[in-house]
Amino acid sequence: MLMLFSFSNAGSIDSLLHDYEEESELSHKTKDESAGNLIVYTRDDLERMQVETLKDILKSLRFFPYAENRTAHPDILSQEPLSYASKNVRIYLNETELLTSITGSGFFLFGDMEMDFIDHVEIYEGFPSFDFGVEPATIVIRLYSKTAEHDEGGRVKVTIDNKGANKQNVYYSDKTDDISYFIYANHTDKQQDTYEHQNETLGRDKETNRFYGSLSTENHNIEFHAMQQKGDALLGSTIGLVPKDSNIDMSFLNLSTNSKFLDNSLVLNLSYNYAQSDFDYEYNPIYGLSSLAYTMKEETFTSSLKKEWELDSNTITVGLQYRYKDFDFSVPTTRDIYNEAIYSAFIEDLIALNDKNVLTLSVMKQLYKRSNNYKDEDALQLRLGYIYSDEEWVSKTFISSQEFIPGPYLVLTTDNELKPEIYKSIIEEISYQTDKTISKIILVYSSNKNMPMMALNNGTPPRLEPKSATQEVTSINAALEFTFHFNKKDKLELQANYMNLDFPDYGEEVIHYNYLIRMLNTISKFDIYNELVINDNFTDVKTGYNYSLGVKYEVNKDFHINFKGDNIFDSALDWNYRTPTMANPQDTLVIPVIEQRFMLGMEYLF
Amino acid sequence: MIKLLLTLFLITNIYASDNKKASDIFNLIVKEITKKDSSNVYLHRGIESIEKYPGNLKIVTECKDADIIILSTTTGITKECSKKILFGSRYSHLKNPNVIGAFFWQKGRPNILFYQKRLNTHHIKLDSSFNRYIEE
Repeated sequence: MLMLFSFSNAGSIDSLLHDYEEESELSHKTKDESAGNLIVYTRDDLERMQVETLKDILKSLRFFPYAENRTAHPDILSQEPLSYASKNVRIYLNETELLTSITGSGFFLFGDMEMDFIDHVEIYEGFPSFDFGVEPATIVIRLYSKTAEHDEGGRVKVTIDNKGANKQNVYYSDKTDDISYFIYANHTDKQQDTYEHQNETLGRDKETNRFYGSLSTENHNIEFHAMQQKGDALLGSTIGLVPKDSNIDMSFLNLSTNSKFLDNSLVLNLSYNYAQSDFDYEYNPIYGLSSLAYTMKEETFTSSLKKEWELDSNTITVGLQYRYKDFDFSVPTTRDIYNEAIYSAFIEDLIALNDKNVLTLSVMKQLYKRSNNYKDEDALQLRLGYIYSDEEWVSKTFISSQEFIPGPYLVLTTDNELKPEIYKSIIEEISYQTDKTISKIILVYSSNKNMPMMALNNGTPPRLEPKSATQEVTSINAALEFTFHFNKKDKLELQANYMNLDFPDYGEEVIHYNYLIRMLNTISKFDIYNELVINDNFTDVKTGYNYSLGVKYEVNKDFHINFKGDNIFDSALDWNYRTPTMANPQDTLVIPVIEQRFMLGMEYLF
Repeated sequence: MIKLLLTLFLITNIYASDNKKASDIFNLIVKEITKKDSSNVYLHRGIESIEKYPGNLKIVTECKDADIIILSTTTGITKECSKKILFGSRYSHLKNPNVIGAFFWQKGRPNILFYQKRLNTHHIKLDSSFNRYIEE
């Protein structure tokens, strides 16, 4: 039923092959509709939309359009000037969470990762299943790499753009009777505009190198992922000082294994991450600080054991997880904490009441232990879901209560006693589908106690630092979505969503409206992509209109040329960064989140 | 029954659908090769899609009874089997000169490929709808 519909009109070998290709999309095998409010970008979507980086799809994400923080790193739940607010956004590559232990989430490093080795993407909004990870989440982004199962052979790809940016990557995959492998290497030199502000020139160029390799047998998989990134850090993380020069040099390594036993009902995942970030800022000496340089080193080890029992009308999953984080700063921090251990256990029951009604019950408990006698904390997660489905209608209702323990990057930078965030939400999603259409409505109400915020302390001079909000933050979100399939390869998507966030401690009520019109067409050997993203009513910036156009031409089955313009009219959403000075405490830097860009690329399969 | 619905509707594990489609394709190919509505096939080390959805194919347990052998690997093929019509399920199977063609995934898409000379060896003439899948 969830497989839309088949346009198959003949038993010819050509149409059978085409239908088979569509139904073999790996996203059909990995997506979990019961795990939350799901958005899927299939391989066909990614290819025809010419998705170069994760940012290309997150810019139109329901409720939360893509944003970056002061250091020009992805921060989709941005609470500027808080340096990073997306701790609860978790990002996975296959079964491995991409994580930096200090930020508590890998979105900081991987939210704009290139997508050339990714087969498909699943985004779970709201309060996704506990099955996914050690720590709670409000958004889970699951990236699935290409595999030898479908991609035996190789590809080279080269892209350049009008700003001098360029990207080159190659992958190769093969399999024998018992073993398969996939290897990928990429170099990206991302060039962006510079911005004059307070007599300084600010940049956000980045150069990234990545290697990813996986080796798989029927029940075991081992992956190695290495990334090195260096570039400009825009404003840096120091509020009130605009840097003359800012540099970040980051490296990341991950080694992980995934093993399945007992007919895939028992899953063991092990993962080790190492990350190092070197920050180097230079300031005009008139500010009293001419330079600031520091290094953060982070290590994380995660183990997860999950067992699933399929009974008559229940599917019960039990998981035990352990994560150890070790971090080291080269400069003194407010608190002397250098490691954290998280013990986590969950049980989830999927109960089929009858052939149309399903109930999900989930309980998860975490214990956080930190070094140097910093207090232990525990967190409880509860989730109740009800799903109705028939051939036309699907209704999903999720009620949840989550607790988030403040991440190390917050705890280390303040004397304030940060309290656990308590997040409660109710989400209703109703969808209706016909042969050619899918209509969807999503309603969300949530409340958040003790949300972290930036506030002036009582020091001399006063300094902005994190504290827990004293009043409850509430949010009401609503979305309407409509997809029309003209035929197999032509579709129109229309989306409108509304977000109302009431943050009494800041004395503001934020209301955003986001709209999306997206058209995907295939005409002869041309794939054509048109998209307009409208972001309205964002604080102190004009309405953003981001129009993108992509054309991909199949010279032959193995050689493709593509052109894409992003933010073609240079009118996309701007973002507002606080840059207070003594003379002008309200000063801000306003720059586009996504710059105008015209790309030309080609790819060759071998 | 309810467990089955859970799997189909919620986990959306539609291996079933793509296995069925894969088997439909094998069925059409075998019918075209053997010119029989129902052929005896021997599955060398198993082909999941055909085992689950045999369609008009009759799975036999001995090579000698088969009209065609479909391979999941080229290792371990007996001499007796090698004399029959061999059809592969991976591109690499075509390295074996006795394999007349294969249905496989490569470069992110499903492919069918026959070699004309090998078809000629077995006096096989395919319908013109297969022309684009035949190489010299």
